[in-house]
Amino acid sequence: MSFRSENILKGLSFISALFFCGIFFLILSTLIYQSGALSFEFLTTVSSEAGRAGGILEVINSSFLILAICLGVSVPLSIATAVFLAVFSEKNPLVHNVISTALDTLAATPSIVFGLFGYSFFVIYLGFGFSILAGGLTLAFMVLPFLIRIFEEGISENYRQFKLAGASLGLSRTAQVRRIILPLSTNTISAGLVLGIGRALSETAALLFTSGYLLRMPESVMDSGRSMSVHIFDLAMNVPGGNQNAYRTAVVLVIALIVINLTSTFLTRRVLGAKT
Amino acid sequence: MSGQLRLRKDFSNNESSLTKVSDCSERPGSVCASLKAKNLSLHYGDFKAYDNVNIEIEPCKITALVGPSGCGKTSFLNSVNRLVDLIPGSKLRGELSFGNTDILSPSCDLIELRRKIGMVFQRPAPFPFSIKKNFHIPLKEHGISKSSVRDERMEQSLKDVGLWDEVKNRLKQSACNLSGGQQQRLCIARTLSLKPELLLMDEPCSALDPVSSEKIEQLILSLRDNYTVLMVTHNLAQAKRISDNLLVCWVKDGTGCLIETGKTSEIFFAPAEKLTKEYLQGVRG
Ligand SMILES: Nc1ncnc2c1ncn2[C@@H]1O[C@H](COP(=O)(O)OP(=O)(O)O)[C@@H](O)[C@H]1O
Ligand SMILES: [Mg+2]
Repeated sequence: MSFRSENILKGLSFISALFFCGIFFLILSTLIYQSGALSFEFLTTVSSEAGRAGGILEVINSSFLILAICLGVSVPLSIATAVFLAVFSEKNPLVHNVISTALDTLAATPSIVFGLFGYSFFVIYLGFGFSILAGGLTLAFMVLPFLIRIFEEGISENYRQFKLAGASLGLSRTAQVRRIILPLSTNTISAGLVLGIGRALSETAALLFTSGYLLRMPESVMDSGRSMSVHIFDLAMNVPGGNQNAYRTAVVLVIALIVINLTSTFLTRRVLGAKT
Repeated sequence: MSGQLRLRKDFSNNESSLTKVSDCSERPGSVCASLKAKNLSLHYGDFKAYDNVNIEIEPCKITALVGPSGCGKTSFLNSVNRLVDLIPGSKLRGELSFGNTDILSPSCDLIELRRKIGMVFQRPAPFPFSIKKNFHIPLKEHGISKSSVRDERMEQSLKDVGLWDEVKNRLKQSACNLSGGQQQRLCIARTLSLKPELLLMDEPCSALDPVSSEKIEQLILSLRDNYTVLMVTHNLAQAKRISDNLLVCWVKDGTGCLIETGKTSEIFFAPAEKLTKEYLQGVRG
């Protein structure tokens, strides 16, 4: 490539990088501008007047519980499935293909459909009612295909690289998974975690039908609880005068996502740095 | 020959109990198990990689396997420890035994088989963990539960390959920080730490610089008395220098086969086959 066209490419990519940074700051500054004064108390007090006033402590609590259930179920399940797909289904291409197709279909399914499924299965059929448990499980189903795909990629790469060496030393596949592949896949797993957390925190549609939108401090996972994104939706759509708190909640949500991303990048660097 | 084969069959019923009893911390009484193949062939799906292999590898000797690339040398080594099982569609036919162990038997304990038959690859394949962990992982899986015993094994094997002094102060550092030659010696040591009886080496020097290559060659020579070594090399001079016996393979009609076997010195001095002669003279291959 000529020097000149390389410079043009460089310039273009710089401009597009600037552009995306610009969009991001535009979004964040709009949210902050609309939210008026944002104080720390917003995080530590409960809401009042249907959310128009007060903070979002109970919303944060519900969000956290929903997220914990979602990840607690989806992460182990998706790691196990990814290991199965990447390591153990080698000799059975049919099983592999069936599962892969199912996963791709699930990944393309709109979240509102997961909401309907969660409603009929967890809320009604299993009798959980509108509850944090039903919401968390529905979200778990929703993020599962994404997590599996990400984990599978990293795990199968590591397996490919070390399976001959591992097997030639008489390590069973289970031993390889436990001692070599999973320890080497920590960065993939943390990337998956960030993605899962991001999706779960931003989800609205699937939660409306499952965990509901009761604005109250949850006493157990069988209580209905309102997540941050549902709170934003409800304040903006149904509560006259709720806009400002909707924007404040949005700021909290975006900042939470940024913090999670940065933390995981940092942790991943540490893990990678220690490895090489 | 047929008598020996029958003996192996008589014993094969006891094989599973034998492998269970033998603890990997102790060499079985006779170190001198020999590897025998009879009418052995390997298919990858419909493709026949090699066919009609009949050999007996002499124990406690270095046997070199030479031949043009693509003639199935790697495939043969990978058959001996059943690593080809990892390739979907591969099919081994014929007879293959190591001492009392029927390698092709479905009940063959692959974990124990691969401990007894160690392997070193063309590219050094250390795990991207610390040097110490590279030893501890396989030793632990082979039932050595005491960490101090694993450390002893590691130290002894590293001394055997002449790497101990170079790494003893950096056992906690990543094995990937070692040079290529050091990594290869580490891999050989890792294999030796499991006390194998047969060592399969697939072009162990070909990814290394001349100095490292020379070190590995000396190392292989020093292993001769205690291990049976079956080594693939594309370096005929190296085969001539270090091997006792030679297997020459070739590709005929797309399928690998053995064309000549015997003492290295004799084959180099007076090859029986015209093809071997041309190959050794560098005219073909
Ligand atoms: N996994 C595989 N699947 C199908 N064919 C293979 C595979 N591995 C090797 N082969 C084929 O088997 C033949 C022998 O290969 P290989 O054993 O690697 O030869 P060598 O080590 O002597 O160069 C080659 O024709 C190669 O293309
Ligand atoms: Mg090869």
